[in-house]
Amino acid sequence: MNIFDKLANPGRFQRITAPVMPYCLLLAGLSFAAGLYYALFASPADYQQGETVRIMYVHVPSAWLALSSYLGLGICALFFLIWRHPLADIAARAIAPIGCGFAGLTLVTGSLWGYPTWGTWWVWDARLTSMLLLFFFFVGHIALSNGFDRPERGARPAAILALVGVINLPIVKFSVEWWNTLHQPASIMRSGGVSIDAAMLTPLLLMFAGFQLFFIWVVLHRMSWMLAERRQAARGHIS
Amino acid sequence: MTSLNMAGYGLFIWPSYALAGLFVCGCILHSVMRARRSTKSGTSKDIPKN
Repeated sequence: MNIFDKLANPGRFQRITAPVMPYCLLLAGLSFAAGLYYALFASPADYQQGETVRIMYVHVPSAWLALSSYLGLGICALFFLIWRHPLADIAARAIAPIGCGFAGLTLVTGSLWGYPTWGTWWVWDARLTSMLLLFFFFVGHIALSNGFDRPERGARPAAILALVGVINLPIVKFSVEWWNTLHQPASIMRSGGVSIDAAMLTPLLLMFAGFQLFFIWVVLHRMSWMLAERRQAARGHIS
Repeated sequence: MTSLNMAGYGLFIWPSYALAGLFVCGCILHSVMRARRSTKSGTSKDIPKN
């Protein structure tokens, strides 16, 4: 029995994840507290962008989480379509609204950052447009997975849509290199190494850790009550 | 140390943090309330308490 088979058992999955969850929430709170202190008070203003650079500490981690949660959604979709395991469908349903929220947060904070730096709230540039498309893929997944009388019926079309949307992930990531965009190129995950000073990288990584731990907690928590509701529905169906 | 005005850019910076805070707190609150609703329906042993 491999690790996937072991974790795919809902009961075992909950026994493994339940003790981890309080630590996730606690560490997320600590990371946010330290991250917010550095981001708002202890880090310097940028020599070009001034104080507006502080939006980066919310915008960039949100974008990373939006992308990674969509990747998670794609993996769940693949697992569901190949092995038809209900836990993969539940995980996808737990991830999608949170990822959608992160994509929305990325778009709004990007707009709030764009106006004082670019002089416009929105441009149809490759990075912004592909990110908007990612947001719509999340919305589409939520709509499809909840658009049927029985939730199981929406799982397959939602999984297919999620897999189609995975094509958009490299487009979002490399759009700033493939096309001439108003959005700045990558500063951290790039071939030449990190180009941000440690004073700014510290709050960025702390905020990212906070968001990542919060994401793990909220997805596991959502999965736990979704599993409980499915068990309850199954019992009701049997009786 | 920065001021609340953020050199005139507070109008853009504070809403970004407020939105992020609302999103995080909203997600936690929604999930906890939904779990409680499921608990009341008689599946308490299935949901971890935290």
